[in-house]
Amino acid sequence: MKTNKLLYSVLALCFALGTTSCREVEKIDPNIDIPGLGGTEEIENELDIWLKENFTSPYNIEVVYRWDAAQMYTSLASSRLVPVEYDIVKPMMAAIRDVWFEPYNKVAGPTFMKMLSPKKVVLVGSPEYQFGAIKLGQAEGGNKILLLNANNFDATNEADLKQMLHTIMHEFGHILHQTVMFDKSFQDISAGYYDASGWKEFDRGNYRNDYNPESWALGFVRNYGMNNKDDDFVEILSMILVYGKKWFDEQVCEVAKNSTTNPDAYADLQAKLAIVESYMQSVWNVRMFDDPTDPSKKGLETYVQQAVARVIETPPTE
Amino acid sequence: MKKIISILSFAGLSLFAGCETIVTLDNGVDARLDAVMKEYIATLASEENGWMASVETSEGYYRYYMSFTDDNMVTMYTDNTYYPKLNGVPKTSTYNVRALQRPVIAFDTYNYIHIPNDPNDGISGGSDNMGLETDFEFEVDSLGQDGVFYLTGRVNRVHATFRPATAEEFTKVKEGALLEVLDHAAASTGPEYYHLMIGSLEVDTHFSPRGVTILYKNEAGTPVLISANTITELNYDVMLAEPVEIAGKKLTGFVWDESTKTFDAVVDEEKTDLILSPETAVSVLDMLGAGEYSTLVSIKAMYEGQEGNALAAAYLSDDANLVRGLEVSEYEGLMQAVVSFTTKKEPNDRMLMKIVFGGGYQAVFTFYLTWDATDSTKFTVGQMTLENDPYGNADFLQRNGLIQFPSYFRGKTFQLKWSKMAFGSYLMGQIEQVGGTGIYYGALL
Repeated sequence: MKTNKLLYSVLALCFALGTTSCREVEKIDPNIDIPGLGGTEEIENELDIWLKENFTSPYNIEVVYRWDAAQMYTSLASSRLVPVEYDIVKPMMAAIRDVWFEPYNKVAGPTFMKMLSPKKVVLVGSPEYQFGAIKLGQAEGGNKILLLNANNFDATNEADLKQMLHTIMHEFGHILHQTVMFDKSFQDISAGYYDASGWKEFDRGNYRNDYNPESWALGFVRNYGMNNKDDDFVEILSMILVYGKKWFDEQVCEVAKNSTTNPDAYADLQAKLAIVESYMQSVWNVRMFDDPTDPSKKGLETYVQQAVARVIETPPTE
Repeated sequence: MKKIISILSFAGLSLFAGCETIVTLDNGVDARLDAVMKEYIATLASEENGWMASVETSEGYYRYYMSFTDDNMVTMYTDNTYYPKLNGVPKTSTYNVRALQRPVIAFDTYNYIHIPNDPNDGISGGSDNMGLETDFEFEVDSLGQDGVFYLTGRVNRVHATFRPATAEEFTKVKEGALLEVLDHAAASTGPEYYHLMIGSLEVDTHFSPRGVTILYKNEAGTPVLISANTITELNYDVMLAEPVEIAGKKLTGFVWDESTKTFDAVVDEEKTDLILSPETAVSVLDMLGAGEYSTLVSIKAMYEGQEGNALAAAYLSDDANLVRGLEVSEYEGLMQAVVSFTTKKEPNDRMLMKIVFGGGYQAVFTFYLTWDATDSTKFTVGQMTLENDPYGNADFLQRNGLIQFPSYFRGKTFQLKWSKMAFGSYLMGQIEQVGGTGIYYGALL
């Protein structure tokens, strides 16, 4: 009787364990097809292959050109957005490769962009209209750069090319300082002039990036620099790289020197540029300007200027 | 002992044998959705003659011809009246069917269907950077037994349909028929006007490229106006997007008879003649008359490309010195020259003209009218005054010659008529100089 009780107890225990163990051990059919795993399926086209060869393989960057509202709207914007033109993606990204990646590769070596480039570049055809202004780009946490207004891209148009490159350099600048912050003393130099809503009041009606004399006179390279210290920092970096040190010295600084709205404008600009230059050198080992004592040591600004001139003259197609 | 061993063996088996579960997703939700999306792509790509697409916008239905491939490429043609040079020109981009809240046909790189969506008002023809309040991603409501995709836009919830095209339609599209058919109904009237009879009720029909305005007088003699969106087929049939009820009858469209070169209206599924006549049941004056306060609004764009109109050429065309002289805004220059008329039979017969530039109206001229005793559509313009000059612009108007435009009307006799000029889906009226060449036309608003 005792034996039977023991047997029944073992049997009951085994049933209980058997039932329980079935929840824990599942075998996935090795031939299983899980639809949608990895996102929407698209047949790879010629453009996809080119993007993979030029961006995904060398830099691990995904270029998103197909419309995906979730990745493209930056806010509950009041205006519509539209996708990029299929035929514009390749020439635009080829130009971006030449004027953004190549100069950094030359001055900082091949691993710099692989390490710091955003993992995703998202292209949108139209600009984002916001309260009378247009947004051309946005960086998100060092991981993604959103480039708007792609449908108006024309590599042979110097103003267009520089505007787009400025957007990229601006957003990439955010990625740099979001990775390693710049010196805190930067924010004290123009303290009192930062105004997140009031910056639009300066140089209103001047639609050219490189002509903001009211802002220059206050110690900023462009009105958007007055938005906050971070934008001020990346505006100095991006505007000087794209429009050149010569432009900065001969136009921006000349107005700043004679400023009546901020007598310290010129000194402020020079102090902020010194921090930007030092930051790029010390943190990223990137020389901003040519070494005056050694002409063979070219700076990033020279490489960018040369690349821009080359692309305008002969826009890359591959 | 054997019994014990058997029981233990069974217990062991129950412990292990029942544990292996093979997980598959056959007939699961994802698999079913995936199958439906693949079916949609296969259906779209399998139509060798492509598809005729109709997509609702704030200006009525835009039409596209689309040819899909199973590798996510689509080629389109458009009937966009803002871009006549695109007519008959194919453009290729990408598309996909995606699993969002519902299966969605998404045109995911820029093509003709995105133009009315473009936030640049100068590209879309829209306003406030919202385009023509239309869509380029469409939820599939159903794929009907008739082979038609019934769709709803994701953002603006517009209606859209994709139906298989015929070989004949594809041939016509390549020859530019998409745009050409839009003007056919309006152009087929010649100098006369269409109407149909519903019982004893005379119903005027004024066609525009994407719509028809229906006018009749109710039992009280009050004008009734119905604006309806239309879809014009490549055989010139003009079908209403939604049926219209008039005097208890349902009007669904107008079918073209190529052999007789005439239209028949379809009322309660029966054909009835669409009659040409020099007269209309409802006149422009009926719409502008006493207490109506309706206006004829004319903007510069209406005159662009219009030749043979002395009034427009002299005062409102791009070539007119008058317009070139109006650099009134420091930053923007002349945005538009807009004049609007209001005729009032009571208390005085008069016509008002607002001169608008720089974004807002700058002066209002008043004209005193004498109506023809025998023809109620004709009037002679007498005295002109600048009674309302809110911004003190009289000197400016005089200095820049703008005073010439309202002065043109003084002392002349005009006839108020319906206009044959098409501008969007607006119902257009005009003031035509009797015995002269001057015509001022505008939209009834």
